[in-house]
Amino acid sequence: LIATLAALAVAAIIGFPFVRAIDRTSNRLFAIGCSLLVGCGVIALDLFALSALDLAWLRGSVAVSLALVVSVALVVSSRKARATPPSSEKLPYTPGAAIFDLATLLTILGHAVYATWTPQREWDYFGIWGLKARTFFEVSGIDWHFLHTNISHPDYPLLVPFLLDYLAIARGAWDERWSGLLFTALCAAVILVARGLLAEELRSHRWAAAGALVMACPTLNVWIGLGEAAVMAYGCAGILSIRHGIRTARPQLIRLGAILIGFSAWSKNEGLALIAITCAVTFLVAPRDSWRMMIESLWPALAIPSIWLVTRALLTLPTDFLTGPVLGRVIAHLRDFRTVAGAFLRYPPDQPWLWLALIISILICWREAITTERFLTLVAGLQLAVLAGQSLATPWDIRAHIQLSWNRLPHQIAPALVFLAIVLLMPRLGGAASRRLPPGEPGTVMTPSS
Amino acid sequence: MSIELPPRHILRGVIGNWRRVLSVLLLTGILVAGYRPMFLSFLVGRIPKRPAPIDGIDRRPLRERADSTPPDLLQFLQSVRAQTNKRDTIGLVLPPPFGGFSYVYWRGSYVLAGRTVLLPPSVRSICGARTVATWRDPFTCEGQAVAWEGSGGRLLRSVN
Repeated sequence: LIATLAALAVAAIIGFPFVRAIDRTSNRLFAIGCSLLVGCGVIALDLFALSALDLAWLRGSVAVSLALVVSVALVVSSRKARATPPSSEKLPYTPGAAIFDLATLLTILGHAVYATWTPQREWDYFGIWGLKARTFFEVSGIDWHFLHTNISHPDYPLLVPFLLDYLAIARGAWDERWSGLLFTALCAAVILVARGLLAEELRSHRWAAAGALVMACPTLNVWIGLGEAAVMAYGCAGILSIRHGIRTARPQLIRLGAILIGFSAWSKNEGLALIAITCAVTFLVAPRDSWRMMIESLWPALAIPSIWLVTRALLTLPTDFLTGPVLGRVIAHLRDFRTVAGAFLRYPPDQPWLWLALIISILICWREAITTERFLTLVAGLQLAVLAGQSLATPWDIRAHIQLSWNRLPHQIAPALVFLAIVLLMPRLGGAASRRLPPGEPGTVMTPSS
Repeated sequence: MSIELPPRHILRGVIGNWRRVLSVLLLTGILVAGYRPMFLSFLVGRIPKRPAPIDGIDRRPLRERADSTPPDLLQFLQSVRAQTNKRDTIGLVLPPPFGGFSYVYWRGSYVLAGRTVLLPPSVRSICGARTVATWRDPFTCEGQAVAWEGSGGRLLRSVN
């Protein structure tokens, strides 16, 4: 337990200079959440680079390589000019906020116990994520032969196996119980990101803490050991950061968000769809004269996953969704629309009442959803459509596919939708929340007097 | 006859209140519908007793229930790992409902990581493996002898 907690803390420390090198204008909660996510991403890329250079994953080699990378980030970070602390740093912390934060913390602790009460147990952990991680750990690096020959989704990106390996390297032995904490940490990072953004936007710790509590459970992903928590964490934190960057005209937040969604594609293939959608929607909602700035900010979203995509292409790793006549399968499934629709109705996502409440909230606030929150509404809506639509391309029995995947896939984007509902509904409550930061006014964020 | 409407500022106030009430209800609804009391149960030490499906196929996460894989089967897989070396090729023979591409097959592949576990196969290809691990099954291969026995299973190795 101690070794795992220490390794996760080190990951956050590694990520911190990277986050500060990119953005110095955000509040601490947001920065800590992003640091953990970026730190985990940097570690995953570091392990990949070591294997690509044929260097074994030993404690020494991993520590030295990470120290080198972090020192570069520290140099860049130290050269950045000091920014004015955001106004949210000076907000009073009230007892009301403390109660909401305590409830959120207890929920996160409950998730941590849930994630570790038993060793890893999920089918896909044994068949995909854990199998790859443990095989790599056996040979202290990527087993390229295994990657090429195993039948268990060889095309799936490797961030989650790498992070499981990182914990094992830090511990000095393979572990299948405390590694569950990794998934709690990734989810908790998204809650921190949202908590920080809400404090900045609603200009009240009490409302922000209440919002974080509402977000907590849908964000604490229950599929431990799989890629779900990682793709959700990077994807949602990324699009929330980009949304805030567009809202407050801060390109550094868009760049940070781009890095995060880049890592979402290292977590699961759904991250690739999220990148395409986010980039397209960003250009759709951004004014034409800011397109150049958007390109300069969004490039990491394409650069980061391209490393894996090139590797995948070089190794010719097959994707089951893209093998055989894809279009033929999609058309055949669309022709059998009644069966497909029936399967979606029969096998709803986990927490169906939550989804109903989210849909009602967005419909009631539809005007704000398609104007001030156009970016988040479009990205989350389109990603949800892609997650549903991908089942049409399955080479397997579509009913079984929907039955066993549609319970968890929508939860990859659920936190973003809950955040959307919060920023749509909270300003209607009056009080501090109604004095929400107006969009497109960066000055209101940057100056402490605001 | 015309119906007299209340003054506009009162109407606005009533609508404003309704919007506020509706927003509170919806936010509460999202919190309640999204909340998982299970996390608090775990926090106070309530551990699930009901076993997960034995075939491992469930829409719910398997860790929400107790492990249904027989403990001696898990022990057997661990013993096979201890008795074999990295890069060994192992055939795994398990009785129903654990045979084929089952949950236990993948669990076994994971426990035996570093070795090559043959795909659930024909008897001929299994017997081609230098090592065969068989659990609660009278399976034998010509030219192979029992190298180890325990936890209800046997490890067969090529005599040559």
